[in-house]
Amino acid sequence: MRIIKSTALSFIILIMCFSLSAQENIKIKKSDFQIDIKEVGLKEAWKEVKEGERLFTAGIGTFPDALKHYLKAKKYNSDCAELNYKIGVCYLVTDKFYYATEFLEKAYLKDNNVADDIHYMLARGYHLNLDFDNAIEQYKAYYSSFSVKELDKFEVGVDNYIRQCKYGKELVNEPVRVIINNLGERINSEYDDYNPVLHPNQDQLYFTSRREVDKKDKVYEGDNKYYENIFVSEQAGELWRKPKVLENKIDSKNNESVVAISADGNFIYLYNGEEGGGDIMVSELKKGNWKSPKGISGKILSKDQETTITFSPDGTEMFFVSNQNGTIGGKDIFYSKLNVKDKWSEPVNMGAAINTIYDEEGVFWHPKEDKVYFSSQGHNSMGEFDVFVIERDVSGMWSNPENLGYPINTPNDDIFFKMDENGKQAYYSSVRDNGFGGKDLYKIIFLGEEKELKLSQEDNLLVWNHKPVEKLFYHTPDETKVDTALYMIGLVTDSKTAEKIELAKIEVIDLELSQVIATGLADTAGAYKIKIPKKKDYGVEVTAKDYLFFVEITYLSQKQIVDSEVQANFQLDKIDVGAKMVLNNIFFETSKATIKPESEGELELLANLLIENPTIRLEISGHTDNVGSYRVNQKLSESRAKSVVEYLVTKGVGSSRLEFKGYAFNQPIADNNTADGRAQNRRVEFKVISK
Amino acid sequence: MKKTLFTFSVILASLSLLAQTSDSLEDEIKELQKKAKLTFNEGVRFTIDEKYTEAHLKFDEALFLLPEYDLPYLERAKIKILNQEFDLAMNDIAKAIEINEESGESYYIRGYMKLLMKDYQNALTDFTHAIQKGYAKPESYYFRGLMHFELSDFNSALIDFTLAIDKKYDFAYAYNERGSSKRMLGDYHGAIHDYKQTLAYDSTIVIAYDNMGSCKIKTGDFQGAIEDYTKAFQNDNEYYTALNNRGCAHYQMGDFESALKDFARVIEINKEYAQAYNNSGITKIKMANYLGAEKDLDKALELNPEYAEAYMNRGYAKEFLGKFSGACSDWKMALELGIEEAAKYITECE
Repeated sequence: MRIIKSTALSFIILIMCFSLSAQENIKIKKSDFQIDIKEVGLKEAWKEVKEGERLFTAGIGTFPDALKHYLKAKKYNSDCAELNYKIGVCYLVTDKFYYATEFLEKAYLKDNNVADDIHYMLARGYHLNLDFDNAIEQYKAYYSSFSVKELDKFEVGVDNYIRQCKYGKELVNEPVRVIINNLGERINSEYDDYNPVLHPNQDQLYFTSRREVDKKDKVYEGDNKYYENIFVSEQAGELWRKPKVLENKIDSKNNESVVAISADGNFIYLYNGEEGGGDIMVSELKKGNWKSPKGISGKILSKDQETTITFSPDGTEMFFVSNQNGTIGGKDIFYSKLNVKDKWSEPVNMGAAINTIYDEEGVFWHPKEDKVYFSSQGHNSMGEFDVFVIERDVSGMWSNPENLGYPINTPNDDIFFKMDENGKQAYYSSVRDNGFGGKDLYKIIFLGEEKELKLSQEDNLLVWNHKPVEKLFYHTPDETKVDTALYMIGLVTDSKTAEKIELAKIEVIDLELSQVIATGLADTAGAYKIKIPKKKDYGVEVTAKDYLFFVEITYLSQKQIVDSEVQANFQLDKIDVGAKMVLNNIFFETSKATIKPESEGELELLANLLIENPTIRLEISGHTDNVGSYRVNQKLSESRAKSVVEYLVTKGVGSSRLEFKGYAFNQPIADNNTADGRAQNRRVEFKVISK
Repeated sequence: MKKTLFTFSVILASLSLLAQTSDSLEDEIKELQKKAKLTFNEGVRFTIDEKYTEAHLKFDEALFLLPEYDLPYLERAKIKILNQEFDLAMNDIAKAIEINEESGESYYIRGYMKLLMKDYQNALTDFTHAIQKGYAKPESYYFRGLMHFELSDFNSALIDFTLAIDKKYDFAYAYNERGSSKRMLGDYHGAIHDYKQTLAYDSTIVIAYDNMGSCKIKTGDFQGAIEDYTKAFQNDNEYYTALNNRGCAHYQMGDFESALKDFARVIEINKEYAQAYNNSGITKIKMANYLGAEKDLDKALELNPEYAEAYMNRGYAKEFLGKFSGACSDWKMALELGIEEAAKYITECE
């Protein structure tokens, strides 16, 4: 639709992405692209490469088209370093920039020297994806790849990028509370859509787009994109209607864009890409129609470029952006005021506090407050244009620019910010990962001050809320009040004659603790009384002079308590030749003669018996059940008896007093047909053979 | 003890007078006393063996033999308290006090019963009476300390727990409670010391790890806190609140992935634990998963419709989802439920 060569507002912005270093147009050689031997699909793939190369060479505007062909070619050879480089570079200039690093990393991996600017492209990819640490590393690598002579021309740019990364880290760590919504496919297109301007009545949204309007449209040779057109959309409830191209007198044959509308809605300000290298024009609304635009009166316009303009709420002051004489660098913000003759004063550069050596753009004065929003590539931008705000105090001084913060600002272009009257919503253009292509229009909803989230930690401060305290509460009545003690009583007698055995020693063993917990002696009448802590089952060992010891478990828990007493009588066998005793508490490892440690108690008793009765001689015999051959069982039973003898010898018993024999299963004491019987038959016993 | 014997003497004397004192009557009374005492002893033995039914019968029998005998009433009251039969227990305690009003143990038992009934003020009075009347056991101070704590008098609680520890140096429970008293008074390092003592004497008190972790958070030692919460959970796999607290520590350290895992594990253990859904919700908010957050917070509020904090948080999630009227409604609920700071959010959203 536009045919005249002029400067597009978006072109001015977009080229910044590659201002530091034009991407290198490395050639994809067929020999490098072709996979060894594999010819199938090569012809078609190479055709795609060639078409991609053509579009890539044409300029950034056709990078997205080049990308489509490169991606098709990649199906043939996904490992070609040059192809991966080109795909990565193309992605960098689209709103799918987050795919770029994957391909650039692969290109670098395949060939560290794939392109001179590979580190730069990688840095851009990381930078745009908020991976600031890696970006800084790659920017430094890029910088160090130049010779000393070449460094001067790169130093400022690389330094700035590195600085942006550092600012970016800070800003991302303290995000501002906003919702950012894409205005949707009704407004946005796959092409660049930008510079939203809301009519003061809030019912119309003007914006600029570089979409194709009809087939006759030509592209601007500067960036190979379609020329700018002004679109307007009417509000319909919460949504915006499908936009229409503005077809009237304000729509000239040049590149143009609506940049502001006066507070009363009677004047519309336009950027015209042809006039004076790019000027701001104004059109007045008369009888419902826009008149032909004219240049702004006064000394605002220059032979250089003026792009955006904004007015104070009362219309007596203005800011505009220009690269006219007197800039600090690139485009700056200038100020002008209506004088007493109702003429705009000589523009004044806003100075180094607001303008930087980089570009400032997209200036906008809040409709009600003394706040001015603009975008800048300088200050503490996190990358390309970020939105900033300055505020005028009561003395008329403007504050230092404040970055609106992440996620409003990103490492990509965030520009043409327009706030609504109550400060709760704003519109701007940005390149984000949920877009429809290129720049899109977004609505920002400000969520007000930070709200505290409420974490629920649970405290169980006191034990008594967590564990029962009944045990603490309950006290047994004091002994002085009542005697709750329990006694074990009984008689110790001779097993054959029933004679009372005096001075027999009784030891009570807590089976759980394996400890002697009470000891008592039988009196001259063979009677004993031992205080025990509780009515439960205990182990009891009884020893007396001239008698074999006695070991057993007394099942007190099953006995009746009568007047705090539980009765348990014990019968001992006298030491006589022929007297026998089964040692029930001697244990061996399975099928071995190794004595287990838990046997020690009973072996000690046996050793003591021998030591206290130095004249007696014993035969220690081993016995088995009838499982297995006689020969094996005889050997095992004998070995076990021998182990016991050896133990006793270590305790000081003379070996001449001891004999050992293995009887295998020849002397059963129980039925070998039952498991219980076989267990009883597996035993060690001793017999007194002389005294 | 002295009073009890005195009571027997009075009974003896009365009976003697009525019966025109005779040796045979005195012997009969002594025999009765002896039988009652032996029966009582048997009852106590059953109690020790936790055979409460048999014990109760023995105490009944002892009282049948000697109705003016205070100790069986107290032992019977203890059994009734364990069975939560507070009215019946109260009758027995009242009778014991009537027989022997100088018995500190009667007040101790009544105090404990009131503690269980959450009548903390009267429990405090009873424990104080018990101590004044000589029943100054470590547990008497411990329970009185608990009552002070529950009534938010942390200074007095601290003193009583210290007295309990003075009387019983290895009183693990008292160390923990004293630690918590110190914590409430802002002495986090002192509290940590007491929690360590608790565990030295009884490593099964896992809440001491939990409490120690919470104190470390207050001192900024998040990593230490995480280790303590981990130990609490390792020692008791059902103790999910420690896991919840560990999640909170991860959250406060900004490790949202780990926090989310902890909250998910808590929910696995107890699907009805609303706090975990709340915490999971706000973690998702921090991770910008507002839809997921809203879902979790919906669940928290389904489980506990009076959960003011969850309304606050859901409002936050809804705000980010652009559901401004819903957010406003949630903040209004939070305000109604007592979170006053919600008022300014409501002003903002309206």
